[in-house]
Amino acid sequence: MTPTLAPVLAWLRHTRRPIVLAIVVVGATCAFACFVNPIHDQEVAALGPETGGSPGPLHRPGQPCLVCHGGMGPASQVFSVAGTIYSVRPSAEPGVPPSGLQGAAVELVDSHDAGIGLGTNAAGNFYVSPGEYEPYWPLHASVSLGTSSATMIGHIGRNGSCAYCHVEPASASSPGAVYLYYDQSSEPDGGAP
Amino acid sequence: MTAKHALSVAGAAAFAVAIVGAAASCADVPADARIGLTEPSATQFAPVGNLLDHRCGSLDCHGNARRNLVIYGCEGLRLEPADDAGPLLTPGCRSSGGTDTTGPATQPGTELYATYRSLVGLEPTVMSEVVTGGGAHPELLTFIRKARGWDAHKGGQIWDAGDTSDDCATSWLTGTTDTTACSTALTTTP
Repeated sequence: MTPTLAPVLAWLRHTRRPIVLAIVVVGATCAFACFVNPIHDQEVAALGPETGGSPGPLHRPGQPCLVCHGGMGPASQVFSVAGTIYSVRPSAEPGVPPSGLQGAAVELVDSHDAGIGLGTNAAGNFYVSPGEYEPYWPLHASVSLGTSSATMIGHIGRNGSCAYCHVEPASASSPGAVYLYYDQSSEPDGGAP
Repeated sequence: MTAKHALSVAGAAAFAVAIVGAAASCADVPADARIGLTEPSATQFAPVGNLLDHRCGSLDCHGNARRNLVIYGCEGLRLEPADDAGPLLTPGCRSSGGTDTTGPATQPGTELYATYRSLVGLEPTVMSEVVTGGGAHPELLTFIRKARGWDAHKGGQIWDAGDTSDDCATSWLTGTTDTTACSTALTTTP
């Protein structure tokens, strides 16, 4: 035994401090496991800082909403389903800021045929809380505005963030952002703002 | 001989025995040895693969290359062409202007083939046991138990034992896929 370890071992052997030490270590480990989730922290960090003002109904269009609003924070408001609808595919017009589609109707129907209709705001965002709608997965979704409509060919398996799957640009693993070609000329008001 | 010396000699002897033993155990195994696999039919797989794409292959479930079981198809993850040999497909079936499938399960490089290999390769020895037994005990396979809700499954219970989806999958393991059950399940389930 090395001379430097001898006093430490003697101290541990003749006191009850090992028990206290063990309790502290176990407690700290549990606390770490309960309150620290590096995977989630990385997902939140990957979204980047807030831009264009403070958090609110119009913020962060096109991002996977439930990363922060899924119950693990940092957002306090929790959503069961949320996303962004665009008027055209964002990557179709390089250099042009993506345009969220306001006033679109989003219809969701779950596997128990329970449905809900939601509207998009000025950023094209829509969202619903678990208190308002807690779907039984899988979920079917469609979007419409005026005479234009689009329906998902597949279903949403279990993730309420549209942007979890709908990522720009389209690829083998993503159909691209959710968009609805909206022909304003077909509206009775002739597309007036 | 001192005790310390004796321990050194014993340790060296044990090490030598371990080396010789390890060498002997490897000597009889050919370098190209493989685990034998009795595969379920690839020619009978298409209806099952299409059902799995429909029920399990959404992009947020098994239509994800990071899953152990990866399912390819037009309702979810598309198979990227090897060496730019073909066009890059995006999720979407023919009804929405996409391509339903890239070819049969017997043809390497197709989505059905990729799904087939992923499924069969999940538990190769168990799969062999089930197929060798004529599909009498499909519940030995984890994917069957998870789909039935018998094992923990993040996606929950997908089907019941004995329903059309279950019949579709389990009949394939017997060697004769119940295509009627598969098509019924494909058109009547969410």
